[in-house]
Amino acid sequence: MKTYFKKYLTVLAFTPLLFTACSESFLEEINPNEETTVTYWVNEANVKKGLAAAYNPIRRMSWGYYGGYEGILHYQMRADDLFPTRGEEASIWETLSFTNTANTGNGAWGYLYIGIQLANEFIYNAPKVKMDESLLSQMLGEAYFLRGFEYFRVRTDFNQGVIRTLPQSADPEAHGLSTPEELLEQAIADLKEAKNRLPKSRPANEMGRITQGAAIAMLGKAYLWKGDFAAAKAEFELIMNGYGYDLMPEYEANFRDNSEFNKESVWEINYEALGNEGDSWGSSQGDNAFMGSVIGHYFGPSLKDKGANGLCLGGGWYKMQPSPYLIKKFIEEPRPAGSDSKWDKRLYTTAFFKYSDYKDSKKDDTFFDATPFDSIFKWTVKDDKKWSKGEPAYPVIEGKPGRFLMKKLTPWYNPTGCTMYHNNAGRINNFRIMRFAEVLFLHAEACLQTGDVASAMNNINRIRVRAGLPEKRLSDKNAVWEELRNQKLLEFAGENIRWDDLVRWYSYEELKGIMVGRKTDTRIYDSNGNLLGVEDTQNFKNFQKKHLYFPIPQGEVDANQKLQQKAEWI
Amino acid sequence: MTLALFCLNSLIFSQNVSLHIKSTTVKQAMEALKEKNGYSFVFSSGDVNTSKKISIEASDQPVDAVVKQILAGQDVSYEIKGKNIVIKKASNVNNVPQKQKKISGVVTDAGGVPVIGANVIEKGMAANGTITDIDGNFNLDVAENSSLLISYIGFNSQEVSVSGRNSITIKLQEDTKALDEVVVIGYGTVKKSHLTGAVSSVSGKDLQANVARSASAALQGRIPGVTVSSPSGQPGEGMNINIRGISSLSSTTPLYVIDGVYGDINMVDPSDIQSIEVLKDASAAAIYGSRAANGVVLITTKGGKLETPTRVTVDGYAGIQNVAKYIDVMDGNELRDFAKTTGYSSADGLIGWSGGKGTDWQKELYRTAFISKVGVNVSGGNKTSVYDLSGSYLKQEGIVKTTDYEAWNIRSKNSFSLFENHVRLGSTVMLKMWRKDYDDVSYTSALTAVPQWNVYNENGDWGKAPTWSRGENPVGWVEAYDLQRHGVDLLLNGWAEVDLGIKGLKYKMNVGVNKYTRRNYNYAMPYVFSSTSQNPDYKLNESTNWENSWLFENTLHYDTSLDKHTISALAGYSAQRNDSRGFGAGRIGLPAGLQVIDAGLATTQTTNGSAWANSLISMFGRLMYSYDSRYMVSVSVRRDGSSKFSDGHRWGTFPSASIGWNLMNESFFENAKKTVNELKIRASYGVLGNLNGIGNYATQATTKSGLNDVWGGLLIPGKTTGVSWLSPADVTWEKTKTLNIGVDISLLNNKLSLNADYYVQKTEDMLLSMPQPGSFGLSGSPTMNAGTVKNNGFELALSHRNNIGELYYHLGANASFVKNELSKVNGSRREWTGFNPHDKGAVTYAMVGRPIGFFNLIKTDGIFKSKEEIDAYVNEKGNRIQPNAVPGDLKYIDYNKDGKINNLDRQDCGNAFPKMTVGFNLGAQWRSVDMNLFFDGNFGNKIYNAVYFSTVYNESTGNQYRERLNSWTESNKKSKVPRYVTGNDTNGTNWGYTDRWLENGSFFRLKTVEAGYTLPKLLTSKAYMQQVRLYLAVENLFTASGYKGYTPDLGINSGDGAGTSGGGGVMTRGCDDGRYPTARIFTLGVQVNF
Repeated sequence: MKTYFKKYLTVLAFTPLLFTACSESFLEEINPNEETTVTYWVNEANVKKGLAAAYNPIRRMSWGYYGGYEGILHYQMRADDLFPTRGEEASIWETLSFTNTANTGNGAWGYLYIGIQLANEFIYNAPKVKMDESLLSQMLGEAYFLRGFEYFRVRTDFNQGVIRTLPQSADPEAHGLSTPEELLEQAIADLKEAKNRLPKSRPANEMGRITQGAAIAMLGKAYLWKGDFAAAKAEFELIMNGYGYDLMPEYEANFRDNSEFNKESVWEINYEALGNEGDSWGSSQGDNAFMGSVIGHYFGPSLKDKGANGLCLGGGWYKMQPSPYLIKKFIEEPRPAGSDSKWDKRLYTTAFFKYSDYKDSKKDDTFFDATPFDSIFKWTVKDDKKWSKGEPAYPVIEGKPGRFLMKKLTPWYNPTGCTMYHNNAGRINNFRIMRFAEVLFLHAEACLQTGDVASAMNNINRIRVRAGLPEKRLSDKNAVWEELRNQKLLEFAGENIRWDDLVRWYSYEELKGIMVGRKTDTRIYDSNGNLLGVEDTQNFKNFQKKHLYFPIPQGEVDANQKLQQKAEWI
Repeated sequence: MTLALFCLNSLIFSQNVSLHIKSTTVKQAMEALKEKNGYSFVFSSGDVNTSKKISIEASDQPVDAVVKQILAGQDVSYEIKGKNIVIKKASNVNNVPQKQKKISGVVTDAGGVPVIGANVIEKGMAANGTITDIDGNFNLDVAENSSLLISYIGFNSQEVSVSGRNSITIKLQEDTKALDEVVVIGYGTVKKSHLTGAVSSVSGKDLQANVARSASAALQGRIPGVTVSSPSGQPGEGMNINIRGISSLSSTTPLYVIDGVYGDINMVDPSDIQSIEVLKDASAAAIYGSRAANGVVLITTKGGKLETPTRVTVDGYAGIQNVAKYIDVMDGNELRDFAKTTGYSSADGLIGWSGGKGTDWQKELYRTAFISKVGVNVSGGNKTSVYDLSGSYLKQEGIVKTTDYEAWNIRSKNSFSLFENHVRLGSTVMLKMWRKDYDDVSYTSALTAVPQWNVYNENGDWGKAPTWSRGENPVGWVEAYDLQRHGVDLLLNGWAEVDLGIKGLKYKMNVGVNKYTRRNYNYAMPYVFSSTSQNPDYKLNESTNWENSWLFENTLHYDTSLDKHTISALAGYSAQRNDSRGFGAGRIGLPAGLQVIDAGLATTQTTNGSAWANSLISMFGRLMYSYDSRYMVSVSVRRDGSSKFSDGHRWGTFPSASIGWNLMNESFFENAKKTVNELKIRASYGVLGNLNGIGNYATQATTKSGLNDVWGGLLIPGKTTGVSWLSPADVTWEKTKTLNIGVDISLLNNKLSLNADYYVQKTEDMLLSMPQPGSFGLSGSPTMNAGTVKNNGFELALSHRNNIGELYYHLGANASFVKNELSKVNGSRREWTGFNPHDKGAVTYAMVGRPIGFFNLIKTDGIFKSKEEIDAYVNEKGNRIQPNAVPGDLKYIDYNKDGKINNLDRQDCGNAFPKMTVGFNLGAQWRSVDMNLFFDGNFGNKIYNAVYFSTVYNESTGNQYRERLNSWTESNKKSKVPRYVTGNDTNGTNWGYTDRWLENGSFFRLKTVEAGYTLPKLLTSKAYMQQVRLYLAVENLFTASGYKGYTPDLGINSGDGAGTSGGGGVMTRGCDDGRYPTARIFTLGVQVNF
């Protein structure tokens, strides 16, 4: 018994050696959750998914380039078309008041480079897949466009940036800062590549994907920034003829969800009520992420829970207002007597106001859930105190104090209100990044720069007529320039274009002078309600040359050994 | 005093005995019986002639027969009590000295358990003595004014005067300093005197484990070099345990081994702890190689004793808890006045406020909470088996409304011997079932919610913020969210040990299994707290996951002694695998009152699921040698392979060596030995590995889905590669090299002892998630072998135990000093960032030449009191340094002297790691009253108060700290609080990365105080109880600290509901962004032994 036992134990003691032999395979653990890089880029279906992923970063609801919170739509409020609501998030306000540092308020950098990496990943890997060559070429064109667009935005927002044209896996080294010129060259090269690969039009089930027209428009815009006005003019003229683009008869059609992908739309982001509708603060990432927009909520006015018909689900945070300067410019040129409205048609899409206050020929409108302006004004300005930390100094019109609220980019036509909570109808409006109207203005600018004043005037008149204004016949170049600047302000208020234009048109010194004037636009009262004066609360007196562009985010400076902060931001 | 006790003790089981010795002394025969079979002899030295020559011839005979042979011809009688053989002079029984007085008594250990076979002797009359019976009772006739000397192996002897008393209760204190104490080390035990590594040992009793809420909390402050800090006060939350400084940026969690199985310290019911051993240096821990770089904590749970009758202990307590401190914020009137005077807000609802103090949100959110626990322990043993069963139930309400914790612990530990003790088997089974109701409310919101806001409306709904303010209704939040975690955690351990025929050679197989079954429940009710805090609908998310791990270990042990040589060898092989699987589901739109997924709208359904696994193979060996108990050497090596690294970088080899010298056993020391009982010098060096910092599949490139888009109104699921960072393929083990020098001294009959250790610890190829430039466009950050960290430290433990008459007392103090420095970074990188509160700029950094996680901030230099001061603050060129400042703004130090204040002016402003950590325990016992106090403290550390920062930075009109009422103004120029910044902060007075928010983190706290009273035996014995002890315990009775927040005890930011803005990880230590406050706990308890 004992001997047997000992033998048994001796065998047992040596069993470990058996394990050692197979230890290497025992230590091989494969990630069970995801496909690997090697197994992924193999078929057309996956290529399509890869392309969709490259589109994702710019559409993100919150924290995306065109999203809310730190999305770029906030930062445009530095320009003269808007009056940012005072007392909102400090992180945003720092940028708006030129007190931001490299530590604060420049999230756009990250979002743009995520887009660039995903485009690089696509451009690098998709050609490995055996599939229809022409289809692949088109899809590559989209990726080139996205990358070119993103480099263009790096140029406009940061002036300097990092250029990467390969995914991290193929180019693991960090890169240093490139010059503004190099950034534009990269954008132009990518957009040219896109132009040559993309189709002129898209079938209904591909709406929202890039077309050749979008590539040409962006290419022209990049040439304009570069100062190559002839090249810019040529590109714009290409799509002004034979691409089917035209102005919509009604300006308003560009901001409503029932007229998406119209003939004026060159490129828009397709927002829909897809995914988890409860996802109010979504990042638009995740298998079931909501695919809508939060812009209406961010900029919409305060509404009460129950409107006239009891449909209204609520209002928004009203973070942006029409600037007093914008209103002043709108009312400066009334429409001819006998018109169906007192002012420029665009004002009625840009701002909420009570027409009858100013003896308008147009009858008073109601908005959202059949709500009159007075109610919206009371809820937003009186109850929610959106003017308590700074009241926009609107002019007195017809003896009445100006009362205007931002309307554009809110779903004013939607009876359930503009809240993003439980209100899908309020968050499905597409965002138009490039309208044909902008092509007309950009072309006009290229024409002015190349001496073709008449064509410039022509384009401006197309815009004026659509706005319900009579044609103007100006031949003085400077006068046309002024008309262009003014009309572009009125046409694109709140559409994230103005700051770029101002930076392009003016030197820093000119701009500071202009902006201090235009943005001394806040009425300040003492505690008894007596007007103390009109002040520059957006702090343009502290506007320095470095504030033309964002600093390189401190995180990038810290982590990237090849790069140093731009000199003016150190 | 001629009395000397031989205390030869042993751990092995009782049995029949074989002993063949020719011509030996009685003493040697006794030692042989002890060595071989574990029997100890207890006797007075004068009673037995131990140098008498005898021969023993016994083959497989009962012990009794062998003892008879050993003691043949001596005038003694003896009694075998368990493993002790108690010898008395035969004449004692008959020749009693003149009777003057009869005294009876009972001898128990500190826990009240009767001590059987204790020697009770009249002082000065060695011949007059007795031993205690099975109930610990004795009767003795003694002289009227004499004293009794009571002694028992493993306990300190005690002297008690009998004058004026007829019955007496003696409580013996365990002699934890006994030289023959055995210390548990990896895969075995070693005599403390032979130990060469830095090992700290603490018994469950010393931990005051009975009153602790968790095993990790019990350990706080007890052992030098072991830093226990609290991530949050949430009931059921474990603590951060960190041994000897920060050796790694990834994870500083030590390896826990519970009765031989890798586990989680929080699974152990503190009252089940027999002892905890902490292996601190490389030589002690090296046998655990790869996982030991952060130290090893060995937890031994209580076990039964051989031949002990069944003992039942019931222990229960109940008590209350409340918030130890409230933060001083403004009340309604103060906020109104603040708004009026500073222009903070012009809202009518605030300026026109006449509602008095308004809501005190902290008072509304926190409550007095109940706590109770009851536990039962049953233990005992017969000749061949021992058992110990315990069960307990803890119910702890949280001091934050709606939070609580409940845990059931069941444990059984048994061992058996078979085949004449050649085969030994054992098992531990631990089951913990628990439920945690936590909340993720922002604790800052209880400070920023304005007093003008009602908790509830008249109709009972949660109050909505006034329109001029924003944020969460904190009470509404905790009521609207029901967040629960449920767990069934099982630990199984089975082992078998077999003698392999050659004397001293054993094989041991150890199998351990852990199974964690977890269920999460996350329910939300609809609410509208403010424009920024709304939830439109009922939501329910549930998820569950299973984590399994198994461990299979084979070890061969060889122990032998030859003359003065003692050798102990170990070789082993182990394999282990951990895997996990889980899934979850959620729906929205549940009808009120229904809380199951099915009740929600199917169209809103979300599901998810994932799995992971990792495996580890290890081979290890150790050789310990000692010569004459004077010189000791130990060498070990462990080789580990892990699945987390890619092929070719998988294996690491971790060697260590140590030496020790027992000076007190040297002949030249003979004279000093009476005063210096122990004097040992130790030194060790070794390498340990660590892979905590790396994910399971860190080097495997995968796709990521969910990057969707919409084309033509249709959802296009997006999926691609290259979304997140991967670790480079050559990433491998992090290695920690430690040099340790230590000394152990024990003086005056072990009344005073001192242990000191100095170490230099260097972690090379530190695994670290390194932030990467955003321009790569990838999310997350790759784990890399990033650099080298150095820790130097000194640890000191002092203890003193003594009896003065009937008063027994002990004092203990420990202190540790650590210096940490990031000494090298691989590659070109110089620094990286940690805690980044609210994304307003990082405040903690790791930088070459600096301590990890130091606060890299712009230093302030007071407040500008006038325009002249601002104008006078110029650089060398005469340019104003802070041209945008106005009086009342902060003055900053232009550290780089470039004439402006910006990021580059950051400097080292201290760090969150204390320069000195201390623990003090004081205990005393007098007759039936006992008292224990435990203090701990941190000195020389800093805290970043992100709560204060975020209330000042607050993006809505929220409530403020009261001290801001004293903000600097032209009429209040003495204030140290900067002006309230109206409009644009062009000077950066409210920037986050300045030392305005940095506070002194030192604290000294009375962590536990416990007072007990043992009822008179006469009373309890009538109720068939052996002992009844009542006690009152208070936790966190006072904390001396200058810190403005709830508690200065701020570990790594982790755990359920901890404020997690700014990220997690090692560099969040001491960064307070609002954490569950620490409770002050009062409990009343009773311990009953049957």
